[in-house]
Amino acid sequence: MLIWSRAGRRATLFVAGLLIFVLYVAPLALILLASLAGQWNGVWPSHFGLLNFVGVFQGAPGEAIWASLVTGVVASAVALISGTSAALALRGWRGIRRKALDLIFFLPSAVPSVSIGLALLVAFSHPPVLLNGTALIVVIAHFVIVSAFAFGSVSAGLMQLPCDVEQMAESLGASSAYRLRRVTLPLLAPYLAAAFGLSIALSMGELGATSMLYPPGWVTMPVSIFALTNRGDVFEGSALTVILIVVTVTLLALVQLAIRGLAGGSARGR
Amino acid sequence: MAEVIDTKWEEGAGLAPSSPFAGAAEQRIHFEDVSVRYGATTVLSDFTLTVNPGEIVAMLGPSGSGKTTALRAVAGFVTPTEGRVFIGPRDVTHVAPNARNIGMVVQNYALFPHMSVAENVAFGLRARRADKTLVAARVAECLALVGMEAFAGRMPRALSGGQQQRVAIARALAIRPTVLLLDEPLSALDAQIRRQMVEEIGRLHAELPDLTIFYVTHDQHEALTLADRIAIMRNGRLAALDTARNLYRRPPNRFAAEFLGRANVLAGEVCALSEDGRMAELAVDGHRLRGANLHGLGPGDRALICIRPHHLTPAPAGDAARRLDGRIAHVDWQGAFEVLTIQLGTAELRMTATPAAEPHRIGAGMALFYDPQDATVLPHEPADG
Repeated sequence: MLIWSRAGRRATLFVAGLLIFVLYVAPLALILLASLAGQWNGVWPSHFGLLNFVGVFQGAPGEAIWASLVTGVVASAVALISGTSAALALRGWRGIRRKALDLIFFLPSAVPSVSIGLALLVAFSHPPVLLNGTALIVVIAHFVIVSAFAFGSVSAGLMQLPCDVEQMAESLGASSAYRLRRVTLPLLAPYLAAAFGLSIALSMGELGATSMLYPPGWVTMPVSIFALTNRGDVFEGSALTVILIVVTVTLLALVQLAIRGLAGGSARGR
Repeated sequence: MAEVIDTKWEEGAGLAPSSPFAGAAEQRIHFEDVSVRYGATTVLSDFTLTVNPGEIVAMLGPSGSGKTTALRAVAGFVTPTEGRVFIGPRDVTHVAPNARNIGMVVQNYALFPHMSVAENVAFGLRARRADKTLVAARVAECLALVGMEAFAGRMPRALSGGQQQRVAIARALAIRPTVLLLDEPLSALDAQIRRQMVEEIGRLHAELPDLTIFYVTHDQHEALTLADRIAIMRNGRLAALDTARNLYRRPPNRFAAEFLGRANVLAGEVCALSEDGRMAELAVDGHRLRGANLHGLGPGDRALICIRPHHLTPAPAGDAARRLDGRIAHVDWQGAFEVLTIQLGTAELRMTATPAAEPHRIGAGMALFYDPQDATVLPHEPADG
């Protein structure tokens, strides 16, 4: 306990609560109110209803939900597989080689996403690899952005694994593949879930690179929200924002459940 | 690709007390001039040792003496820089750990935390694609062997340290290993559980007398209780190797004498020999001490004399010729016995004694006696090296 006096603790709690309310709760609550409002002419909005959500699902913004979902899940899945493979491959490496490769893998997290978007745009706007104007270039941009986080999370997880456990599996006759499937990956499950969840959350909210790359038929939710609010349709933009939050949180919850189920199944199965 | 070694799995095959885990000759461990170096650091140097089938050899030594490195070289987790490691007639120096058919138990148990006790024990068999019926039977047998059959469905986190170590032993035995490697298996347990587990391992070996056990420990009680032979390691080299009894009674050098049983070692000079030369008399700080002269030292040689603390007793009245007069410098009461430190000139001797009715007084005089047959004369070597 850092603060011993009761009055001090109360004051600290009040300040912390106020900060949380002002910075986190109030903006989200206002977005929720705006998503349900038909007008906002006074202090509070009015004409509440679900018309904004109906508008989102019936119009072009509805397609953004699908585009964001596909982009997020595919980019995160590929990033998880490649990040896990890279982390497993590099775990025995030490010294300058390891540091150099770590730097390469972590580089995308240090580069602004707009720069990544521009780099991909320049690189793939001419033959032989012409991806400009395709959905694939958006997925690739998201993969580049989230791969560093996937690699980082899995590498951190591998560092936490007791090496004795894997060596015991090896001494008991387990092949590398069997050991990976039955011991390493189940023990890594929390870190894999964290990596996948973080990747999805980042991808679902990605705007910088996507705004430079998206083709007309593949508008993601953040781009759509930006476009709606930019032309003054704040209520529908708020509705789409609420949907973005709900979809992202639901995906994260599903990922957690799936990983837990996989870990349990792996432990029970052969 | 893992090599399948154990071809002896049969339906209903059990761990009967006399059933061999493998052919007797296969259960030998042999180190042949093994050295392990990491850059300029040598952690194991020219190490040669044979652990015979069915034998328990305990490897004892201080931290960093190379004992765990030697064990891990057998397991395959350390590759020798020089020399070869054999399991039975097979050179396994460059064989993958999963193709060596060894059972291994480590200090922190290393159970698979996401698997139940039964799944842990079954792991090695399943990795080898053993038949389901055999897996079930073998798991039940091994858990019964370590008294853990009632805990088959529990997760490791729900077990005590001693229980986890029993499961780790069952898991290692389930694959019917050629040899069993125990790497400080009881170090993480409290003293009482450790004593119980030493007895358990002794009982286990009595039930499986053909099982070869290579046991690394820093605890001399474990080594003395369990081992047929003890190898004492020092600075990556084998400092002494003999049966536990011989090593304790006749240590071959100063390090073995002091490390195993904390013997009193006093430096002096040989001043006389018995007629047959088997006994030598040393002049030590004004006293003359006699002991067995196993190294053939002659008059004038610098030498050490090793006397175990429990071989020193208060001198019988009237035996003035062989008494050593000293003063009590320190008393360490340990319940059932006490350790007295006796100042003998500039030297100090430790002796163990049953607690006296009246507490000993620091500074009081005390006359000591020992049977010269119980003392060993050793070639001189400095205390630090």
